[in-house]
Amino acid sequence: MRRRKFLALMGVAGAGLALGKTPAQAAGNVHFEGYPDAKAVLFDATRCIGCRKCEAACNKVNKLPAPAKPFDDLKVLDGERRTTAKAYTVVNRYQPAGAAAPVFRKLQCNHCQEPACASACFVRAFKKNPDGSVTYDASVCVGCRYCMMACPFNVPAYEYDEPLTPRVMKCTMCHPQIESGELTMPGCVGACPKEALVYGKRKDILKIAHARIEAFPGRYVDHVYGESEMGGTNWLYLSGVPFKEIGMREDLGVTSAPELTSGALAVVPMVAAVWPALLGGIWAISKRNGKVADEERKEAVKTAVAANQADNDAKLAKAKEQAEKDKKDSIEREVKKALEEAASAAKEEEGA
Amino acid sequence: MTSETKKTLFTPFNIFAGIVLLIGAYLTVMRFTGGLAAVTNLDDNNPWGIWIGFDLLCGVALAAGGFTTSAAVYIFGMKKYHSAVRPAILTAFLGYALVVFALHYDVGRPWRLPYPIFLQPGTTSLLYEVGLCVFLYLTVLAIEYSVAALEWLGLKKLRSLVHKLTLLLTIFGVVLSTLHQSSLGALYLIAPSKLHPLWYSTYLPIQFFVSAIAVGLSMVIFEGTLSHKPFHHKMDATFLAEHDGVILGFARGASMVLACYLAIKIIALGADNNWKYLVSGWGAWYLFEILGFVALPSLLYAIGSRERNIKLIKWTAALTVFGVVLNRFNVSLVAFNWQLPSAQRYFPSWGEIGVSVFVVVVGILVFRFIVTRMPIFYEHPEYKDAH
Amino acid sequence: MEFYTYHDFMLNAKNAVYILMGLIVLGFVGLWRFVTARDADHEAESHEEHH
Repeated sequence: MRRRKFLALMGVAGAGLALGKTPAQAAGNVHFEGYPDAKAVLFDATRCIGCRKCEAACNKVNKLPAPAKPFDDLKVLDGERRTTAKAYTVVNRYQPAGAAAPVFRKLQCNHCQEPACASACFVRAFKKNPDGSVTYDASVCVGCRYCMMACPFNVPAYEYDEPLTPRVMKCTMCHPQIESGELTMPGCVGACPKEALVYGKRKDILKIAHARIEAFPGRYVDHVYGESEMGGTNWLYLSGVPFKEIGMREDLGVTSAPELTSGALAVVPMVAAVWPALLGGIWAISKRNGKVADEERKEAVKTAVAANQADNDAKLAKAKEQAEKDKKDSIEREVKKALEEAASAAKEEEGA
Repeated sequence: MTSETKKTLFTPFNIFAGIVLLIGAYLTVMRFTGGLAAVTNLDDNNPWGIWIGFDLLCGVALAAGGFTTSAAVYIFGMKKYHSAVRPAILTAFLGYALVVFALHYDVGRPWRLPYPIFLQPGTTSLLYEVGLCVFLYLTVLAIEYSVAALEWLGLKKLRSLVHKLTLLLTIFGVVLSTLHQSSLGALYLIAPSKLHPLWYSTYLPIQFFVSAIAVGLSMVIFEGTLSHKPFHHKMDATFLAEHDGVILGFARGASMVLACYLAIKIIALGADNNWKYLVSGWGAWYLFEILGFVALPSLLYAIGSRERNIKLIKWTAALTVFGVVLNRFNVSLVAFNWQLPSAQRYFPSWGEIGVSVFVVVVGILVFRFIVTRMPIFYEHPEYKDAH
Repeated sequence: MEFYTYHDFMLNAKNAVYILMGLIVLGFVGLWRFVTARDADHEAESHEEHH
């Protein structure tokens, strides 16, 4: 009874502190669905025309430096690009086999439901906001770049040419601009002339995406990219060609980053709990063994010494005895000799 | 200064070290005026290069001799290896100090390195675990090492106070080493899509830990061999008498630990059903690593300790050290980002290699400074019976 | 081999791992015997040296 009460208390405390949910949800098999009102963006590759207006808008609202080539120069699309410290979003052109026209795909931070960058950051510089965006705080960043290692989409970029104040740079879903009221939707979404981008609640966006697939089954691949990839993202994709043909990985799996490391993290306190007791025990046993061995050695030495002593005593006694005997013998011999001499002297006197 | 000491100052090694220090100073200025871009080949797809793959991963693994040796002697009661403890602790201390030193080049704002521990801990990160343990273990090693320094300085009271902490520090050191050695492997658990399946495994932490023990034992042998010639005159009779015993015992231990590591590697293949990858170029490279640098040294150590072949054991130690360096390179550089086209793959710049060599040379110079002055390879005459 | 359920995958992988475990344990016994085979001789030798 007491134990059960204790466990119940622990459960409540754990749920209350760590999860902020009701105790029932904290029991055993936990499941998280993300912020209920999180926003998302839907990118429809069948609508994108590769005009780069989203890139220009992004550059403007985020006050990023002007690029080497202007945004209306579409020759840039000849090479495959990625996000950089100076470009939070880029559009790439692909020519899938069998497709009549090229397909364009926009690339930026996918704002994971369970961000790998946030899970990997050892100074909590990344934050998943209630509006679905993942933002970064340069004021605590050490610059270790583990977030970049962890990101399955290779999104965060780094200011490699900054000697002392390098920052990690990535799309914020225009979180600061929307929060301040400067924008009502991300800059790129507002700039898109073809409605290839749609901004709204993630729940609604998912419905829209599935409705489009259902309405035009021949036009779309039957998959909403980002619905479950790496635990789900807040940037979702529709495409008419297989996603891997437009540079998106289909082998990422559905396991989120925090789940990938939770096993290893769970072992950490076990090492601290088990090792000292185990090692202390081994130390005690080996010390005891050493002591026993020492005592045995001492005992053996003692016995040997004692045996030696007895042996010596015996020898000494024997020698003494011998000496006594020798002494006695010699006295007797002397006495006998003296007596004989006296006798012979008496005889001589008698004869003379 | 007499002409004789002047002459001995310009040995080939010293000249080499002087040049490396000058290059290091130049690269330091470059790094802290031009940023990482001025010195390294790192880019947005390849954020970690050899400063992490070698300086951090290998540096920490190669310094594992400290906790393995002190655990063997102070916890498992293998007193016959006692003379190996001090050199191992000193190497570990310098190794970790240099790891932290090298990190100052790699991270963007090195003065913020205490932030994760003191300002805003990100406890979901395996890197936080590594950082905290390295910080604590460096402190433990500094205290353990300080016994020798205090003997040298003649501070008897303080020395005996620290000496009393030996067991406590040793157990704490084993706990911390277990944690961060394995966590270095666990760093890569978060990126299954980037690390080749032959190297990615949920067993990565235990693979890193067990291979660290193997390389720790091997480093004691390897380094003893390297130290023997230049510092022979500093070694006392006990050290020299125990030396072959240390080598034979550690070889036997390393043989078993490497067999254990091989077993874990093979089980990892089976657990993820990765057999199919063995028949590919990556498979050949993987087999080259585990057959040539895990299975082979295990066998050679076994033969060496069975036949008491000291020479064979010493060569095997070098092979093992090389093998673990190869493994860390494979995980962090070669098999990482294996899916990127070759034009986007990383190869270290001469500046990165220069800084890594610079760090190693600084380590050797400090090691030499200490062992020629403090009681490392010999027992201080005034503290002979204090063990 | 292709797997359509996690259970099938696990069954296959664990079968392999149990076989590996058996082989590994035997391998350890073999290695231990190989390494320690000459210990008796050496002990005898050193024992004689002491006398």
